[in-house]
Amino acid sequence: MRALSPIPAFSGFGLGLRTPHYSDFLSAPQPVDFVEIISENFMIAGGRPVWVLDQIRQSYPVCMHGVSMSLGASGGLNSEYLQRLRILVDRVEPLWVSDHLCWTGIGGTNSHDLLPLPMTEEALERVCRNIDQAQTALGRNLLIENPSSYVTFPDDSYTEWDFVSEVCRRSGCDLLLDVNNIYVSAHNHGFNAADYIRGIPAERVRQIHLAGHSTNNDLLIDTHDHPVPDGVWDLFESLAPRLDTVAIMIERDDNIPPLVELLAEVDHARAIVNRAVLAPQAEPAE
Amino acid sequence: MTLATSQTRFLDLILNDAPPPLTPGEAVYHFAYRSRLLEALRDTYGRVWSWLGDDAFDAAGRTYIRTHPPSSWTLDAVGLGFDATLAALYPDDPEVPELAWLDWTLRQAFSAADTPVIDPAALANADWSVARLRLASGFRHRPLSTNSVAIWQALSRGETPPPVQTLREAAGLIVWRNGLEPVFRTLETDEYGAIVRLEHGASFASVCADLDGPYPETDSTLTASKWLGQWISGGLICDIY
Repeated sequence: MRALSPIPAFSGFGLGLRTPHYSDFLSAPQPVDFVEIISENFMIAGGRPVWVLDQIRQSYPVCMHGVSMSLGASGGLNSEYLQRLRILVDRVEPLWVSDHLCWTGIGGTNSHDLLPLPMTEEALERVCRNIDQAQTALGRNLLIENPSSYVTFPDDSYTEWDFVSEVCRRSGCDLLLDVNNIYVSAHNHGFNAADYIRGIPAERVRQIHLAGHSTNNDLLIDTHDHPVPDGVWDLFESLAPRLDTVAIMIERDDNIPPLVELLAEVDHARAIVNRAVLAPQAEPAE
Repeated sequence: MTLATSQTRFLDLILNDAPPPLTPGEAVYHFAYRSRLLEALRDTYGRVWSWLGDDAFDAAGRTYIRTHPPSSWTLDAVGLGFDATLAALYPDDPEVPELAWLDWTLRQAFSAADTPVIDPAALANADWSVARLRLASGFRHRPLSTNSVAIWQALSRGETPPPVQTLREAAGLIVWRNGLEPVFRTLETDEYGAIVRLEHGASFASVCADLDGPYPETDSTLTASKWLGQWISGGLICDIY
């Protein structure tokens, strides 16, 4: 793997920037330390979205979060996609760039979903090779996010947290840890979320996503259309004492409420971290 | 099983409209694929959705999704070609592909490359015997055969749309972006023809000369100059070259 510059240290509390809140951010300063954008929404030629982003970037650090890199694709990455992403990176000069530990399609078909990877040695090697391709194309290390999932594979030979840890170790990437996704996958696959929290390399966690989910029969679905539920807050509280220099944010993608409601969730996350800093080190909850 | 084989099988399962029995987890991905693409189509083709109604639109959407698995990394491209599917499904309803064209083209203009605002000095200094006009970002055009624009506007305002009517005289529809706002205009035949010729690189003088044919008794330069004033004030012209 090629050696790239480490991701700069950054701590703070932020939000995913969504269209209904553009006017709030353009009309007055908002009490967040950073915003995160969905990269693909701005990988366009021009127009209002890019204009809005340029305005907001003048006042806030920005993280770029992608959904289409397809880091687990067996056929490698789309170089045209990487070129377009690089153009946006050069324009935004983000804190960092992230995408998911998943694949979205192969053979020229894109499902536009975050599809599950088998936790196998072959998949691990392919993911690391793809991360190396992306990091080289972008000239910077990536953050990789743990996805939620609804199936496992008979060939799985790693736990997800061991797989994630090994990806970080081999590729040099850091982690965007989605606490809701751990909660959802733990429920769906019957593992203990505390084992996941204990198993990941906390020193590699640079960003946290906090979100809500829905219930579909016996499964939890990562819909990001509800407030962060108590179970996810509890899991985050168990993780907080292990975090160091981290950007923490609320991620809402559907049923988007007025900004003030999301800012209240940001405040709640801030209070949890403040308690964790003041409290003695604790073990993650079972 | 290799990773490639595993992924091919999984993707086939998702794309298959009549898959073998699925586990509850597989069913989540199978459902989400169609749901997400249909939502993207509804978002892009909002007026067509209103015009056809939920059931007819979703049926057309499902036909399109089955025959056009997405290949781009962006959801914005998912609807590329849906107008052709609609035209095939509604051969006797020409307003449907016209509505679809307007929905799609406005969306494309929304994120088209930025173009500069024309410099007034360029107008004064231009050699109008040879000057050509560059049209603004996102410019597209098509002929119209129905009152689809009136239908589109009524649907946008939440009003009851007028019944479909065939236009008595041919007309054209143009879309462009004025600053940050996608806009459109319906044009009569002469002005539409002039715009199309300009887009193809004809000089403004030659467009004026063409007007002398059908209207020898009028001042074609005056007519074209009025049009030019409207085009510039509407942000349709971004450069003279």
